[in-house]
Parts: sequence; C-alpha cells; structure tokens
Amino acid sequence: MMVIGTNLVSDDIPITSFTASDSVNIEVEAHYDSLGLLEIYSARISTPVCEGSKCYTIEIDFYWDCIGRFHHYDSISGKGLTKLDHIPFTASDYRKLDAILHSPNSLLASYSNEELVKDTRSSAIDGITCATKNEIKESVIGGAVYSCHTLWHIAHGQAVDSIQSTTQQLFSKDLIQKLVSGEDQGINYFLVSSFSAHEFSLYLPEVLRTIENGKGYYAKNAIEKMPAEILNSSEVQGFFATNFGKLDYFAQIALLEKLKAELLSIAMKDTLAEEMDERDSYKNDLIKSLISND
Amino acid sequence: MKLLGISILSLLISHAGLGQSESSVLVETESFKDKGGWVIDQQSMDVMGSPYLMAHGMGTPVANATTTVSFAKKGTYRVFVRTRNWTAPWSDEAAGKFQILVDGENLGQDFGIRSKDWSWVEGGIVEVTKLKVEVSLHDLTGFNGRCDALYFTSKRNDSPPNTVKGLEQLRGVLLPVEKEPSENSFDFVVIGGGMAGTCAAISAARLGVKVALIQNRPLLGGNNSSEVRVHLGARINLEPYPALGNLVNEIGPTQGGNAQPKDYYEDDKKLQAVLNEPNISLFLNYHANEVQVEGKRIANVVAQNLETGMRKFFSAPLFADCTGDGTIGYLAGAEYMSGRESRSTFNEPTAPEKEDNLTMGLSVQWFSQAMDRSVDFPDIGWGLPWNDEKAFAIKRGDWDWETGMGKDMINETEFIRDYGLLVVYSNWSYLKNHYNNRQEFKNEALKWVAYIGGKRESRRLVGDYILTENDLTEPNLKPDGTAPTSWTIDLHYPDPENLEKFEGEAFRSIAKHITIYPYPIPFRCLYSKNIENLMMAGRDISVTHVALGTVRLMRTGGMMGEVVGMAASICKAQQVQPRDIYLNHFSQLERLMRKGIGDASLPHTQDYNEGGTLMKTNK
Repeated sequence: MMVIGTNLVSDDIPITSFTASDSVNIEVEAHYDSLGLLEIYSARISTPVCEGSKCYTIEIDFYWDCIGRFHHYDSISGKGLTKLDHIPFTASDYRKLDAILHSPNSLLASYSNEELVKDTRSSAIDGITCATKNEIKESVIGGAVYSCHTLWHIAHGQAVDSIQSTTQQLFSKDLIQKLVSGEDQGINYFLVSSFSAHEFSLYLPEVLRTIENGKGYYAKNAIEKMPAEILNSSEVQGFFATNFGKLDYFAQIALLEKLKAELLSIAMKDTLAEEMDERDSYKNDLIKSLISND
Repeated sequence: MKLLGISILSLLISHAGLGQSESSVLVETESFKDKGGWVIDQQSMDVMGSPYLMAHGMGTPVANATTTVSFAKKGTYRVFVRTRNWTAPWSDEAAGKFQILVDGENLGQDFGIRSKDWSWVEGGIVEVTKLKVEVSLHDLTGFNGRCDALYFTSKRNDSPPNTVKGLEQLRGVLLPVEKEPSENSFDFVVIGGGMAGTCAAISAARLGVKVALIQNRPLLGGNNSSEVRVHLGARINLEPYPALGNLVNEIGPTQGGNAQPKDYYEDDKKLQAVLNEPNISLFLNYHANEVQVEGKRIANVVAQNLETGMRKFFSAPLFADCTGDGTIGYLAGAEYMSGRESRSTFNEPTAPEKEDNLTMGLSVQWFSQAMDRSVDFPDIGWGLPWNDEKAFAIKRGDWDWETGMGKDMINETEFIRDYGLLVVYSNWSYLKNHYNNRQEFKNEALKWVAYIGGKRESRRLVGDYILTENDLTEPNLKPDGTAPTSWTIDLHYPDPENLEKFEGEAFRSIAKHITIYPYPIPFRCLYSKNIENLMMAGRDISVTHVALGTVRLMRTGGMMGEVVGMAASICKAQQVQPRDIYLNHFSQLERLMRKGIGDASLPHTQDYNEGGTLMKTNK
C-alpha cells in the first residue's frame, strides 16, 4: 500500500486518497462542524475480496476520528455484507465486525492475506474450505476471514497516517482548543507528539491545560516533549511554580531534568526549595543541583 | 558459577547404610538412585512431611524406580510402605496402584489403595539373605500412584510413626543431617527460582552481590517453566522506568502460549543466564522450610535437598522471599494476609462486603496430540460421573482449568492439584470411551498433563505499604514507585455453571478485568514490615487481594526481582536494611532503576500476552 497524496480541493475539503491492497483507491473525506472545525473523516470503501477462486465486492462506509482512530462503520442500503457463498451477515456478525474493527491491537495486524488459513490443501480441499488458523479464530468472523482481514487493514492501515497528516495541516487555534476540550488522552498525546517548537509556543495555554488535566504518564511525557527553551520560559515556569505540587512525582522529575539553573525564576526557586522531600530521593538531588547553583 | 545440589544421587545408599539403627532401615523413595519414570513431588512436603515419588504416566504405567538398600544384618524384616490412595476423596476405586519388588520379588500386594491420608501400610515380610538388596517401585496404572518411603524392621513390635513430627524424629535418627551452617559466604540469599527470584539473583549478582539462589525444583522458571507452562504476561520497559524489564527480556521465552510443547518455555535459557553469573551459587532441588530468627532479623534459612534429605544452612545479612507462598516470611514470623479483605478494610470497590477465604486457584493444564493411528485411553472407574453435557470436547486445557478457589492453597495443595488431575482424566477418559462424537478424539493421545500446579495466590507478606485497588485505579503514584504493573486487575472466580454442574467443586474459572494505567509498585511493598532483612518479589508482596490481580503477572514479578536485586546491592554497599533504602538511600535505587540491569541491546522479544492497558505505554 502507498499513499498517493493529500490535496485541498477548491471548497477547502481535504481529500486524502490512498491505495489499499489489490490497488483499490480509497478517498477519505473530512467533515466539519457548524463552526467549520474538523469533526470526523469518512470514506466509502469498495474493495474486492477473494477467497480461493471466488471473488466478491465489499461496499461499506468507514469513519475515523480526527487522529485516525477507527470510529464506526455504516452499511450501505442494499449492499449488506456477505460471507462465503453470499450468505448475508447476521446481526451478530455485524456486532462482531464492529468489535474487530475497534481492536487496534488485533492479531490480524501481523498476518498477511496468505497467512490466514492453514495450508492443509489436499486434492479434496480447495482454498475456500481451508481451516482458519486457530490463533486468529477469535479475531475473525467464521466464513468471512478475508473480509475481516481486508477491512481491518483498511481501518488501521495507511488511512491512519493520511488522516493524521491531514489533521496536522489543519491545526489552528480554534481546532486545538476544540481538540483539547475533549480531554481525550489519545488526542493530547497526538498533539504533543506532532507539535513543532513553533506550535508548542503557539498553543502553549492549551498544552499547559492538558498537562494540568493529564492522567497516567501524560504530564511526564508532555514535559519531555516540550522544547527546553519553551519550558524554561517565564510563562511556563510561572505555571509550574504554581502547579509543581500537583504534578505526580515522575512528572516532577521530568521537569527538574529539563529546567536550567541559569534560567530559573525566583518563584520557581522558592517552589523548589519548599518541595524538598524529607527522605532521600533523586528529586532532591535534582532540586539541590538547580537551586544551589547561584 | 558453582552448580550445587544436583550430584547427590548416590548418597542414599551410604545414608541408608550408615544411618541405620541396629535392625531398621528407612528408605526415602525420593532418594532412589534410578527413578525410572517416577517423578519427585515436593509440593506438599511441609504438610505431609517429605517429598515423594509419583507415577505420573497419564494413564500409561511408568518404568520402575529402583535403588539398592544396604542392611547391617541379614534376617527377617517386616516392610512398611508410606503411601495413600489419592482418589479416596471421590471414589471407592483407587487410581494409583503400585507394587514393591524386593530383589525382583513382588511383596504380594498392591499399594496406593487403602488409606485416604498418608500413612504407613504393612507390606508383608521379607527374608534378607544378603546385605545389599535391590528394591523397586512397580507402577500398575500410570495414574499418579505415590510412595513416600519404605521402612524395614526386624524388631518385633516396631512400627514407624504416622505423625509428621514423629517422622521427622525418625529421619533425625536414621538419616544424616548437616548440623552446622556450611554456606555462610553470601551477601544475599534468594529463595524461589521463578521469574521473580531468578531476576532478583541475576540483578544482584551483576551489581557485585554474592548470591545464593535456592529453588525447590530441578529447573528455574516456576510457573513459566516447562513443568507448569504458563506463558509470561504483562508489559516491560514502561514508564516511569523504561529500562526495567530488560533482564526479563533477556531470559524470557521468545514465544507465548499456555500449555504448549516443552520447548516453548526455554528452561535452559533461564538456567544458562544464572550459570553465567560468577556471583551466583545455584541450589536446585533444595526446599527451604526452616528459618532461624535473631531479634527482628533472619539469621539462617535451612533448606532440604529433595533427594538426599540433607539439610543445609544458609546465613546472610539479607534474604528475599520469592517463594510465591511467602514461606520464608511466614516461618520468620512476618506479618501476612491471605484470602479477600473486606470492602471497608481498604475502601476497595471490588472487594467483597465481608472478608472471606476465597483466593484464585491453581491450574493443572494439559494437551493432547494427534497421532497417525488410533490411541486408547483407560475407561477409568474412579473418575467423577461424566456425561456429554459435562464433557469439554477440547484438546488443550488452558489457565482456566483452575481448582482450589476457596480452599487453603498451602495446606490443601495436594488435594487441589489432585482434583485438577482427577477432572482432566475424567474428562479425557469420557471423551475417548463414551462421548457421542468420540471419533473426533480417536487418534488423540494425552500428551502432557501438569503435575506441578500453577498457583496464583496464597500468602501476601505485609510491607511498610499495602498496595490497594484505589492506588491503581486513581492512579495514586508514589515517589517510591518501582516496577510498573500493567496487566488488568484480573481476578479469577469459579465458573458459576461449572460450580453448579460439579456440586460446589468447580474446576473451571472465569476472569474479571479492570484496566489500569501502568502503575509503579512502591518499594515499600517489597520488604517486610517487621522482619528487617527480608525483601520479597513476585506474588507474595504487600498488596491486597484485589491489587494482587495485576501485580501477579510474571513479567511484573521479574521486574520486581530486578529491583530487589538492585536494592540488595545498596544494602551491601551501605551496610543497611531495605527500609533504610526507602528513607535514606532511595536516590541510589532510582538511578539504578533508570539505568536498568538487563542487556538493553537485545531485540525486544516480549511482545506476546502483554494485556490491555489504559494508555500508550512506551515513550
């Protein structure tokens, strides 16, 4: 698979198109909310699926969120999905497909089309009835192994990179504010991983807000990704001088490792002096090396 | 590297010879020179008094176990056999029958058929006409017949004692015991050679600590060894210490899967990693079951060789309990918890309203193999009543063949494991002989059934901090965080349907999961609150029952071992106890954790069975 390209069409709707397996071109379309801000991406999938000597076409609409995470699918009226020998998907098959497509870590990721079935062909067995490999039985729908595999790879394949790069091109103050307002850790990680130094500076209040509300190791990772010159700026030091105690220990360590003694504000120094632990810790060592360097 | 404790097979003869009193000889079967197809089972030795030999033939009688017994005098001897009928709790028919041959002559009766409990059974009279006699255990069924010891006496009214205490005294008279500490050159004694203990030993050794590693099986790996066959689980190389886990990556098997062929578990890789460390002395086949305490510190741990019975003293300034069962802590008087704490105890939403004894169970996994011909399996009469509705028409039993939930995981280990064997055999015998669709199983041979049970939970030793569900879910990160636990809070319960079908004694389990962010386990959970020189790693650390649900995974245990080994090096360098590290030297441990102890240049192979987590885990 390869990305053919992303272009902005005349009415400012970015279209990103890429080639899925078997040279199927898929065009991804961006959708906007009433304020004109990016909302979701979609694509109409029309792809041939071949199982042994039999081929048929799957048609279905796919949706991804702003950072390329699979969101949902819609079946197209009159073009329901089928299994082997054109048996229509049941409601339960559709539910299972939904679960499969929502599993970014599916075992299907590491299987090629050719590896899906056991190579147990004998003269009496053709490709269609080959047994699905036991390891992936839970990851597919019986009788629709290749369909599941093809659709999963479209949902989690090149579309993700294309969508992410399109979203990056659309970054604006309003969009960033909208994105961080959802307090979605995945989106926040995407933002701080994507931002250039200039963008960190441009969207600093939003970044600091995500750090304040971050869960798990987000604060630590965001601090680590923030350019040192921005982190040592008076604005950022002001923020951390106030919020240092609210950071978890490991985010504190990340911050202390990036602060530069010669750039330390008085407020930050005062905060750090108060934050010394009673017991021995690496944090204390870092603080000492920062504030004793007058 | 010194490899100790495996070249002792021939000592029995001289023991029997030297140790005999005037007219009686005690022969421990685990000391038999040639064990044939019999295996040593030590899992219940602290309860029933000794390791024993077991005929684990999975339905095919195993080859004779044979040894030479020396007598001081010729004459007429009465023979006693210490054995039991392991299926007595469920059936009138005995599964594990065997005979005793003395110089090839059958004593004339079958054993393993009478007593429900371990006891001495009179085996008849033999005429000893020469001073060296060959004695054999002859298995009749292949279904786990078991024999602990034989006692020959020429005294008229002599019979061996049935109590564990009495037996201990008898052994003291008839078998040799080391009286003085002989192994006192260690800085650090690690008891338990599972993933946690192995990593603890290697980590400490690489940092210049002289380590004794004591393991009560002939190989390393514990639940991840080819004896139990549970694959490693959870993640390594995580925030906030991405270098932790490099050692787990170094010694962990490269492919995953429960109940798979032996090679999957790469026993030799773990053993070789230990053998490569000049600072480790490895004591395989030694079971530590005595602790000598001075004040609030352990002075010696005493471990018994599983074959010779020789008891060896290990003295050191520092110990790590990586036994899983918290055996060393328990014997030293360390505070511990077991069962489930009530909801109000630690304010845990998942805890039951009232405390109880429920623990997660022990797995007896199994699998069959397709052959190119039909294969018979005995139509057993001693199995549980079975039918098509009860049958599991499958060819591999995974982790969820789990028994003993609600039983005493330490004092009822033998029963719990035996029930696991019973249901595997009951199901398989039914599939092969009576199942409606038995044709499907015609060519299948029962290839492997575990006889070493895979335990999940028993004692948890209490540290200066007890990790709880709320710490994990909030998450409430602590400055002394160490190895990150990343698996879900994964708690097992009896499968309700199975529980109903099998009248309250379930053998299938279900798991309930709560996903968490990777959470660094506080260092204060890795040392005992009241035994000053005792650390722990693995499933016996200071956590609640609910929190155990996540920390019990073996990659996490391995990382705890890495940390405990690092802590041992600081204890040695600073001449301090683990608590002092937390209070006064923690920055040193942090630096070691940031650096890691494993080979970071190796390819990352530990990407199977990582489990779900709430967030991106790698930097």
